[in-house]
Amino acid sequence: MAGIYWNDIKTILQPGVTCMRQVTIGTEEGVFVARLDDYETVKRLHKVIRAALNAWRRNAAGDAWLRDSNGRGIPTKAHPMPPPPRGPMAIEDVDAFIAWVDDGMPEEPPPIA
Amino acid sequence: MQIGHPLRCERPITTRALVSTILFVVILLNFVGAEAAVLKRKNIDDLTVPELEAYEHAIQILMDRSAKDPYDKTGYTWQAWVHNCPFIWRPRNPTSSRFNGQNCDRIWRRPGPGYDESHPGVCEHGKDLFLPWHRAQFYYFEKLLQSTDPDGTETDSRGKTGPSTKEVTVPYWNWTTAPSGDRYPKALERADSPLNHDRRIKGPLTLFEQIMLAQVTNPLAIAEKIYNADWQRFGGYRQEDSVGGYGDFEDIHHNPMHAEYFGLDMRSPSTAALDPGFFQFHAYIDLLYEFWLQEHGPNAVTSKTHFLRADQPDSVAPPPGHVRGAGLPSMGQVEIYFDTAKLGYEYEVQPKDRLPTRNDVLRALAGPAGTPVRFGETGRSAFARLTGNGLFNPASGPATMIDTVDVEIPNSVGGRNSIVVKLSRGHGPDLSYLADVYLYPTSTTFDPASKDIRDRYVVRSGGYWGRGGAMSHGGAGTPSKPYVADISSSVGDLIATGHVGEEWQVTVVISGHPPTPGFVTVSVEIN
Repeated sequence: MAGIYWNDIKTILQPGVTCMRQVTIGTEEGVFVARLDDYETVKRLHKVIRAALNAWRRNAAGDAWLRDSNGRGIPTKAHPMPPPPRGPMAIEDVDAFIAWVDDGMPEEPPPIA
Repeated sequence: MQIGHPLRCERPITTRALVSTILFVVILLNFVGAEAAVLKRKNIDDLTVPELEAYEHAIQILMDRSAKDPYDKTGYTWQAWVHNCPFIWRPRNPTSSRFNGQNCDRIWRRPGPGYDESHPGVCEHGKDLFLPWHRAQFYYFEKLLQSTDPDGTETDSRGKTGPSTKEVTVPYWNWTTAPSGDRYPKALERADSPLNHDRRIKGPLTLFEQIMLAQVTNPLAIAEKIYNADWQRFGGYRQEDSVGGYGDFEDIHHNPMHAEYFGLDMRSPSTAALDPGFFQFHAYIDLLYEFWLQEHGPNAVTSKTHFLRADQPDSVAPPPGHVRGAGLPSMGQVEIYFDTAKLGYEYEVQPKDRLPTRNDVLRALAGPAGTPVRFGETGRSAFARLTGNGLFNPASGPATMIDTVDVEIPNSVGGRNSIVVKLSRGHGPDLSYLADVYLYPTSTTFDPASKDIRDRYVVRSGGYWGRGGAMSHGGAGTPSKPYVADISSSVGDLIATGHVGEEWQVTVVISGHPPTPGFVTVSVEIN
């Protein structure tokens, strides 16, 4: 268990909520507005969101990719999504989203027995 | 418990029932036959005068509708928005709109209580939905054109009545052949035609443009992809894939045509379909998609059950097999758009519009020994032989950016996309650019003005089609991925010819009509 739940993810995605409300995404179920503050929507669109977040700084194996034009390692702290003025998404947040997806996208912690 | 088929008829068949059934089948067949009428899409230069007049009349009626109400889904502006406009505040009373009729309004706050959220549509690019989505868009557009004035009795705003639009189809422009007009087909350049458009580059191609665009319009390069490319290489990668994006056709041919040949409104997906020439340009791309499907069949096409986003008018009957899907209205799934006859059209292809043959392609790729060349072994790479040596023209001024990355040739290479050059923008407007990629030994001094260097070492040349100055980080639709140039095949040739362990360099030259992005991060990824 990654210990990451919808409230954590909602906070991470919050900066993109307004902008992405204008965006529609087609899937195998139908076409949906990318409401990043809605659990069911994020769950439904998680593959596309994951690919979009991941593509910029990782290779197909999921490793941070190699070097910039000067041969230096690409700084993995920064991420181009979402746009200014709120600044880039931290790679830790990208990792948290991926861990949440891999954990089955739990909405809430399991009830304590 | 009842067992058996609930719809099975257990009653004996009477003569009256039999006659009724036969009559019903005959009527049904007539109806289906009428629905299934297959019309020809022709080269726009081959249209008869009445055919061209009918097409222009239909386009003008769509434009007239939009002049009265830009939010009319059966009007030209809305149909352009199906391609251009992911979001708009739609006024319940169109006459109260405070917007310029053709602008796709992307403001975030509701302008007032009388406005509703609306999602006309947004084109699919940089993924495997590119070709199917545009085919679906054209299905609805063509049906709308046919319904504008089927009786030929309407008078459009030019004062022209008729002719009937019942059999109008979207004509294509074969842009791999010399244009019949100065720069476009004559039909797009006539001053009084609704197909003319102010906001496109006018005038004959300059010498610089001829040299640059020769590789974009090169029929051999396109034919090679249709014969040899699998679906990913031709049509693009799934939107769920982290690596991939454009298929070769889209970034090498489609994108530079938009940005550099047409320019202005066609330079951005946010305005492209405002230019009526968009439809002739893309009708030819649909023909190329059809050529590919005829070669390879639809089985390899990915995302077949994917829904295609757009809000089309209810007055147009969707194609056979259409299901609505959950969420917003859509054009249905990719798989219902494979068979053009079921969509009501097929292509008339005259000899001048046929592709070069496989032998033509083989001859273009052959080196002095008559066999396909390997990268680095001859003075012209396979890309240079088949396509061209790069889109940047040194005589036109400095490049936007030239950047170089070192690469050690590995001892093995995997399949597609195992070695890629990735180009990423940072923050800022999502602007179009051209990118030429060269791979050469460190002992070579790269000179973008040297034809010999370009011919020998070019491995890739294409373009990124940005959403325009107002859009950041991908703007509408799925956020943009990096522009990826696959160089695996060229590196594979170097491995096979004894270059393992050598230090080579990748140089990327960024250029294009301004504005182009000021900074692009270049990286080489070895998977």
